[in-house]
Amino acid sequence: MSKPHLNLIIREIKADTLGEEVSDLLEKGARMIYTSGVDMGVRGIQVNYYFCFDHHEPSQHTILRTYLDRKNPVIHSVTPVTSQADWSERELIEFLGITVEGHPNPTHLWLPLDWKEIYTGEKPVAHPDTERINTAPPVKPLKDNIVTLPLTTIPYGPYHPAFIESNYLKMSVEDEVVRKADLKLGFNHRGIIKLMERRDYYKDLFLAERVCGICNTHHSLSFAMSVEDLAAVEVPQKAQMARTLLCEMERIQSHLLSIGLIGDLTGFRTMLMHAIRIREEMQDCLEVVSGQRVTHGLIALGGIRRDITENQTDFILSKLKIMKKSVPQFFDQCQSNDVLMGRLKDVGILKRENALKSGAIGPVARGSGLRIDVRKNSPFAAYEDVDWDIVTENGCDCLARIKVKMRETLMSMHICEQCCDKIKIAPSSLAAKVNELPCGETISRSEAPRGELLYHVVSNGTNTPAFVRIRVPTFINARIMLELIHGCWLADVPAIISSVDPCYSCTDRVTIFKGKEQSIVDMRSLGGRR
Amino acid sequence: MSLLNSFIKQSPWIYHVHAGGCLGCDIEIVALMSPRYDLERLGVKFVASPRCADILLVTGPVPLHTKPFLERVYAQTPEPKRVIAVGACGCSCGIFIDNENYSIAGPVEKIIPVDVKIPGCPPKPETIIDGILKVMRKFDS
Repeated sequence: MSKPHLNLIIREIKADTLGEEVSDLLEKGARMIYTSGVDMGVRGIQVNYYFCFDHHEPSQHTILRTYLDRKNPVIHSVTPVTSQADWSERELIEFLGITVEGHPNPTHLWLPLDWKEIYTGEKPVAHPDTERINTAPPVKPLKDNIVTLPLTTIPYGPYHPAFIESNYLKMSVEDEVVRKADLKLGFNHRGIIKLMERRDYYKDLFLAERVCGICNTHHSLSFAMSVEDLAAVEVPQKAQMARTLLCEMERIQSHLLSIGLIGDLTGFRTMLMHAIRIREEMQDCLEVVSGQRVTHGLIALGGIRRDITENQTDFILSKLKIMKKSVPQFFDQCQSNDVLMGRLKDVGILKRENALKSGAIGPVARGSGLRIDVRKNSPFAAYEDVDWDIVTENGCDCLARIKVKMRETLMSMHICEQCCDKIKIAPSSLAAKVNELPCGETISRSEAPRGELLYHVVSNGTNTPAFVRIRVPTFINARIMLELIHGCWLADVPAIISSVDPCYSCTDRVTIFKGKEQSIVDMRSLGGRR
Repeated sequence: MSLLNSFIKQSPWIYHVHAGGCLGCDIEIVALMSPRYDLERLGVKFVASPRCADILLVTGPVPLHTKPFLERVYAQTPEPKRVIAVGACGCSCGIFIDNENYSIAGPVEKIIPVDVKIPGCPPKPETIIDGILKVMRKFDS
């Protein structure tokens, strides 16, 4: 099984020709994945624009690279050309202090609300030993930089019963219609990328796993794939099959949970309970294979850490046999419920051309009829050796996105069965040895349950990476979610959020603007009740 | 207070605070409500507001951004209250502990008082149930 070689073109360009180059690539059918910035010391600030060509040219990637002056980093925004660069450029503004000229909304997205006081030292930080526990509520409520219209403001979060994670969504509502919605992220910012630069490759694998608990195999797999690409290591066949099996098992449990959460957020708690009940079967399989229910730690650099024995594959096959009955039954029950279908149908419509333009990925794109799937567009692990196809729906609404997830779950079960059969007959070699990492850089992409995942790893020949940049699926899809929320009914917001299924833990790994007629509302949202 | 404590011991209400974890622990807490583990059979209920909670279940290494909110959630919870730190991150910041980590304010212990720690990355649902039962005993003292 020969993996098609990853074709990566890195082109260095001048900062002032950026806009033309970007629009040129977009006309050729490219999709902008991400924009990252790295402070390279004397060379200035390196800004990378990542492009891929999806099904036009499989496994083809382009990086446009430009260097900015460290003293005065100014760059022209490409957000007016393509909205796909919106959040990435806001990240540049925030973390590297780059001035992005012409950005429509250059506000902070990730930094803490009191970042100015924390980082400029206006507020004395309490010494950890003298003032250990501070349980008093803050004297003055924190102000956020979310601009709202002079209308009724409805906050969601940071702690809201509808979210498992903390994040802060604020909506300006006129009657029952949402006029403006904005998101404040960063509640889970743990500085993982910075930690990766400080630790060696073997430890980074575990750090990558803890970017997100739901799609942890995909994160560690993407990191391992990029390191293997740097070291030019051929991964054994059994390891490739085992990785595919793990990814698909993870997709099944993630999709089942997200389908259940749709039920929970639209008022069908029983649906969540049934979904978790079925999901537990998959969790058992994962526990048998890896010894852990959630973080598996099974991916190693060059292969997998532990063997998957015949007993284990038999166990998985027996569980899959049970699930082959219970999962379609559960999906039929969901789809025969008129109330649920009525709440999802024709809600949150993302037209095909809009999805293409805004760079939607994952089930969101496939629910709008786009055939975007990294497993086919740029195959990794052993996806070329198993029989499967991309699942698409043409409904463009919440229902279509959920149907995509349902059919993908069934497809994943089909892939798992094939993997189990093929693992039994594969040669027993588990991992290739990664000896030395030469200087170089590479990217790797994989298809996490929520969409495409990008890892950019640069090695400088030492035991730690020079830098790592991660683009997670929610980074793109959460912005599309905000677009969908604009102008919809307030009651449809939970349905839209759950159908896009944002994962903020992934996204947060990483100047107050005040308009004339707009006001800033204090954050009084804590402990919001349903 | 002792009468109140005995009531709480029979059916504590729990508020789950997600303080910047990777979601691993939070998924296991969702699994706690599932038909298999079913925490409600022990009288435990997950509530939507800290104002009616007895126990706070805190997950994650507490980033700087979340710190003021965690403090405020703790202040909003009525007495008597107990705090459980769930997961390796909640106990000690786990994998994120580093001198140079600019965005972590935790562990939870450093910000609010913690009664019971449940280690594990993530702990299994059985372990979390055990931790909740242990904190229920703490309402006596």
